[in-house]
Amino acid sequence: MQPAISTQPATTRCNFYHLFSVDKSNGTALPLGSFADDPNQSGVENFLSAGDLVFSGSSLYLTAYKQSDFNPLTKTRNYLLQLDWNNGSVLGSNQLLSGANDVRDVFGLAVVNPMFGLGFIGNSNDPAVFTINPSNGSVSNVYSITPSGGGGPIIVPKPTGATFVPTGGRSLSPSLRRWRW
Amino acid sequence: MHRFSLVLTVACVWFSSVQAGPLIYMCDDTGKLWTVDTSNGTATILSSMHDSSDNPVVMTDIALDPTTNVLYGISSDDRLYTIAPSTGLASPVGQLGFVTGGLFRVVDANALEFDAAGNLYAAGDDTMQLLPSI
Repeated sequence: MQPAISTQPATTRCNFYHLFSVDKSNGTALPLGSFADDPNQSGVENFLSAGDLVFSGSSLYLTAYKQSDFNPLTKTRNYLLQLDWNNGSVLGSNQLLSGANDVRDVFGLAVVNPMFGLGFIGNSNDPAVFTINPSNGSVSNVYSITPSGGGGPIIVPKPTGATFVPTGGRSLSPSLRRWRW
Repeated sequence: MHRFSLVLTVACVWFSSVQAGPLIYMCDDTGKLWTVDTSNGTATILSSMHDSSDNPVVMTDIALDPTTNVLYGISSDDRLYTIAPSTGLASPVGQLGFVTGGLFRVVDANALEFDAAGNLYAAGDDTMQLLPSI
């Protein structure tokens, strides 16, 4: 069933964020559960936005902000959450992504052993690639993303997503996280 | 001596052609698809993503199906696509959302990921808009 495209304004909107199971053959996305609790419910942390999802082994991670300390101007204080992929609930403690400088606007994650993130560091407006230790949120091995030669743009636009690249005769299994030859 | 020099030259060329670290795909807010060398940050443009009518398509996230090596993306207008990395051709799969109460509820997602078995997950806001389903 194809949806009709409407020019009518949205009839409803809220800011609860969910994990969805998606049928890759048609785009049907069924909600599994919310990782953003009711902000009116005291004592329950509300997580905003969804930077990127990534599986590391059988663990599912997401970058997001906490409503309690989200600053839309700076977009700093990104958290790495581990989600229950059955219902989207947040497992255990969430980790603030941090390194020598503030980490902000992390909108790309990929696991090619170790986990890599794409985002911005400190006051720099140049996107960077870095490694993430999911156990404590520590960010290290930071490199500014620099276009290679060949007449491309001088400045790399803002990254919006990332995933691993399969490699020819060798493949990387996200579940095993080791090279197969 | 000449044979040793030839072997050394071939070895140097081979080593220099191998990237230093693992590569990841990166999409950006202008619709370009890149590879990024994670060992030094060097980024190389693969393609500009577009539909069959050559209209640019900006993806809010991409994910690779490990069971088929097919690259998928979700666009800024909440549609699921498959992507040919080398050409950038984005082929629509469907609108991201679900039918409930006779209405199609669009999912405004900006995070996408496959598990090892090829099951696809997304994260985002599920109440962007309600459209009448047909």
